Amino acid sequence: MSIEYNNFSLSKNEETIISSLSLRTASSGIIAVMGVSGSGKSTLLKVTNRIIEPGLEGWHINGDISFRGKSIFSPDVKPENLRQQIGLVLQEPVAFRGTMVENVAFALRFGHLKIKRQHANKMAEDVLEQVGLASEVSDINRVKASELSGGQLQRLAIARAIAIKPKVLMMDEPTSALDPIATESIEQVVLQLSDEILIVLVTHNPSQARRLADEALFMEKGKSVHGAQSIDQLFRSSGSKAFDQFLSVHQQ
Amino acid sequence: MIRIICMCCALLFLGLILAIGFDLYTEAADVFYDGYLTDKPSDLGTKGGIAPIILNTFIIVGLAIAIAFPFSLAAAATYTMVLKSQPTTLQRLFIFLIDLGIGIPRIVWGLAGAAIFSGLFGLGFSIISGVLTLALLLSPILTFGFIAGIESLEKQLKIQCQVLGLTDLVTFWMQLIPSAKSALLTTTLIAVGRGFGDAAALLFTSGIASRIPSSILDPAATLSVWVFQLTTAIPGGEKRAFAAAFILFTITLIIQGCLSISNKKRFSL
Amino acid sequence: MSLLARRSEFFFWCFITTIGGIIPISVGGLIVYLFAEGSSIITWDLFSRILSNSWFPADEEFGILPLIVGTITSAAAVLPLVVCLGIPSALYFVLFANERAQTIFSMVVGTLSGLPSVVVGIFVMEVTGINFTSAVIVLFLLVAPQFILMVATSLFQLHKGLLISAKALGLGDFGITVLILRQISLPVFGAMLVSLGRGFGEAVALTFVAGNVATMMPDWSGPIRTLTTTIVLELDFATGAHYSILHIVALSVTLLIAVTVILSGIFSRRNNQ
Repeated sequence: MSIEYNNFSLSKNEETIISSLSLRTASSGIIAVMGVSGSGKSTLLKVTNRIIEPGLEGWHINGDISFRGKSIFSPDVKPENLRQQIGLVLQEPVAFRGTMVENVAFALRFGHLKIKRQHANKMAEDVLEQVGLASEVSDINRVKASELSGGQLQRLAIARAIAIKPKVLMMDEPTSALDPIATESIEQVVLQLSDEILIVLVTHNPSQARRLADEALFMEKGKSVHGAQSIDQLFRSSGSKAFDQFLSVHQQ
Repeated sequence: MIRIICMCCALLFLGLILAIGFDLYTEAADVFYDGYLTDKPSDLGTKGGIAPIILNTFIIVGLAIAIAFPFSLAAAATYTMVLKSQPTTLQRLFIFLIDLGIGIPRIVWGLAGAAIFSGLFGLGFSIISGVLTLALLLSPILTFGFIAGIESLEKQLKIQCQVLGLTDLVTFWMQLIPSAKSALLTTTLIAVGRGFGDAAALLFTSGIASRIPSSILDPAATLSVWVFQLTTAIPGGEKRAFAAAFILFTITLIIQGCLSISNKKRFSL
Repeated sequence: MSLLARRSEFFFWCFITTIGGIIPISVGGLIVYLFAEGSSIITWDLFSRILSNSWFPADEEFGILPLIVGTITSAAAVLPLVVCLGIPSALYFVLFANERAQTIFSMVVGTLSGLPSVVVGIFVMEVTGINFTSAVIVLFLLVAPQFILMVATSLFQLHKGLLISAKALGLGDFGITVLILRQISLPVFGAMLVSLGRGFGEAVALTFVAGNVATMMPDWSGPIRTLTTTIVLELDFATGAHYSILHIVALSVTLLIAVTVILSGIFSRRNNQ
């Protein structure tokens, strides 16, 4: 289930945000998207699941993005269905009111899968187990999502996103606000998940990319500088001054 | 020094509210008797109680809110979910009309209501005419409050629902509205207060009758209309006007109390 | 575009939009109605008479200028009072009051803002009589509480760190006040516009205290007539041309208010940038 960007450009009100991106991702594994602030990384994620909708609010596209062989912008693709297949974990996730299980089960019950409450709760419990949250709190059926720490909330958001079984999971800088221990636990989860689905990981941390990713992409002012290359290639042959700068600033 | 100046200004308002309450009560004191709230008025309202008036007030305001609420909720849904993905000119026009609707003087609503509901629809002076006019008047207030309440929720909540593949209906009804519940309640209470306080819109639509109505086609005066009537049209009615005004004052205090309870804002800067 | 893609819920949202659209449409419809009824009997002769200086419907004199003067001067007279007393009160509420004082003050302002206009009207009528001064006091009581709430809201929306940075710079009460006032000058101006509009629109309470003579030169102890009080007092017995002209009166006051709404909208947008 790979995503294919075909000479894809995105602009808002005459200002180009992404220009001429051509890339075909793998079907599983991890691809890291790096770049400084403002290079278009988050925007790329948001247009891939049509949170940013071309034609509205001044957004325009050139070229195409296709998923499973079909353009994601074709008129018979409903955004809700697309988003169930291509999930997104926000940089700062929002907790729903209710317990951890209720949070995870919500999209199962009220999304288009329409799973019944008991079954949904059971699925939610399994996923919370999978991300390691079940053992960390006293009772996932009692603890409210609003009581969780930053790292736990981030893992809850991941659980919420994978419960509906997407084929691709995009993650927008999931660990940038977390301490090293929380970061480590999230990276574990991500590695686990990458066996079965494709993870698109936006990160500003080159070391993290090196640790986790199979492929990497560096974006500068909307252009992708190296195309998708294997992570080692990227680090070895840095022909871009911007990338060198990026590396030296962000090396930890 | 500045503190003292500011505190004095604030104390002025405290003094004003106390003065109003005190003044109304003393002017009206001899009107009150045990059965004031439960008796019918007599002698054109210069004697007796105001029970029917109170009943009328609750009926008219209650019905008006009941009608305005769903329409205003739909308007808020239209703005926050549908119009948000349309060109901004539509959004601005919508908000402009709502803002204008809030600012339109109540007497102008009354004028139109009298002409259209009482006149054109032939309803005459009737509860239903007043209810419809009041509902139109209160709707922009409710709509504006609902929209403000929804927009003050965490901005990402809507996007968070969208990225999980949830539809707009589910997002609106199952996440946004429950999270905005206290703002919705506050807005509704404020609108109820405006409804109680309205005289201009009802004077020419639901009329000035002080009997207990037998149907919604009958005319009925509310407390505010009654105060107006007693002061301007009924000789010797001032004292009783003060009494009714005091009742209104008390009701406002009660509503404000409910607001303070439901609206435990944090006041820190 | 995404509206079309939501085919399953398309009809539902069409339905909601229709229902929800009724409210703004009714506001527009109101304006249309006023215009239609008011202009139905307009002739050039009548039009020039509307622009005349005296309002005396019994003699077919329909000059609305004195009414406009009445409306604008009473609202304009109240505005400085509202601003000078309202801003310090809002500052006290947000900056200087302790928690108990805040709760009390919020109840006071809340009750005042919710007071029915008949209550305010009857109180002021009894205390200061029927004249222009009373009209100003009535408007003050009705407009100031909302102004205070609006200013307080914009104070609360100030960046939390502002107060701390100011104190860290060694600023005292006076300096902090000046700093904050400069920060909120735009929203305060917007609030002033809204309050002005509210002053234009008040009808019933003014009727209690405003007397019955329409004059071009209001003075403090004399009577005053505004656009709105005219409608209240004369709608009962207006017929024919008089009735239609009252619609023009209503349209005029609505236009004045629309101007304040547009202006305050511009200010709030400039503030958000």
